[in-house]
Amino acid sequence: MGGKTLDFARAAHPQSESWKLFGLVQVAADRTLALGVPVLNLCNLAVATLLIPALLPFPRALLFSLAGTYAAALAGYGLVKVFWRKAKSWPVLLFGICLAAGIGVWLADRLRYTDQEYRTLSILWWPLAVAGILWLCKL
Amino acid sequence: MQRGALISGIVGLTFATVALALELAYIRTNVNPLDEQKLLLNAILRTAEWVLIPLYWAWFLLFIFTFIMTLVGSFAIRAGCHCEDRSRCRRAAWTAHLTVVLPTLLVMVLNPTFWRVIVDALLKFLPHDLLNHTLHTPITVPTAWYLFPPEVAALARQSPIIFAKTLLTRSNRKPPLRTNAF
Repeated sequence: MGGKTLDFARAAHPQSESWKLFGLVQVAADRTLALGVPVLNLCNLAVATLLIPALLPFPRALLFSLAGTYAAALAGYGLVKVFWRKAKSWPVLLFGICLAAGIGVWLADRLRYTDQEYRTLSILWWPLAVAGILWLCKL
Repeated sequence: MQRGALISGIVGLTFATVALALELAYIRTNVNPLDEQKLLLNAILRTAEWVLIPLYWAWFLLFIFTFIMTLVGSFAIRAGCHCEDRSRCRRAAWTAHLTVVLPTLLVMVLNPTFWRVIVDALLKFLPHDLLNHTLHTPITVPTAWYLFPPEVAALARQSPIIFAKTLLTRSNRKPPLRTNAF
């Protein structure tokens, strides 16, 4: 509403530089309030959700669940790509399989070292938090 | 959300991801799970502090913009208004001010409330003994006082305390004795 009011004021005073500057500063303040502050708060919320996997007493169950979810999502994405669009998108499937295999190998390597469970869990958790925040931003 | 939120989100989350990756990279390996948890908590808290730095500057910029708006608005009413009825310009400026100031005040009230609810919920459902014994090493947040010479910053930081002390001293001062001569 403030922006619209100043648009009318600027239209009424087209020669006035002060109204133009007033409008610019108002837009800057509005953007900072409506974009900068909420988005950075959401980023901190994503960081705060990392406390959930970090404070769990038994991380292994969540670790396997998350790894399984990612693998299933990748496999599902690949299958949908192949069977929906037939043979045109076979490189996507190849890419998905390579990615899933890479993640699987990396996870298996990680899981051999029980002293890095929490760090692995956080790394797996972070994309979920990022996806959630990006979805909120897209609304 | 407002247009441009997705781009801002991508920029903000990229910053947070880089900060988190750097903090996680510093965690020592070959430690027992309890120590790893403590080190991880430290990394998470430090990442949150990294994100607090741009948030701090966003609030600071917002206050600066609001202050400049006040000055420019008042100048626009005096010098830039050619209407016969100057109150029209005044009303337009007031509308622009209120549409920034009132939501700012609302966000200032709601923001700590929101975080209080989040923190209470996290502490209620998660075992938080570790948080009391974490090896937290806070980072130094560069605040707006760094823009000023150290003497000015020290004086400005002290002045509310001095003001409060003066008020307290005055309120604690005993009232003068009244002599009822008549």
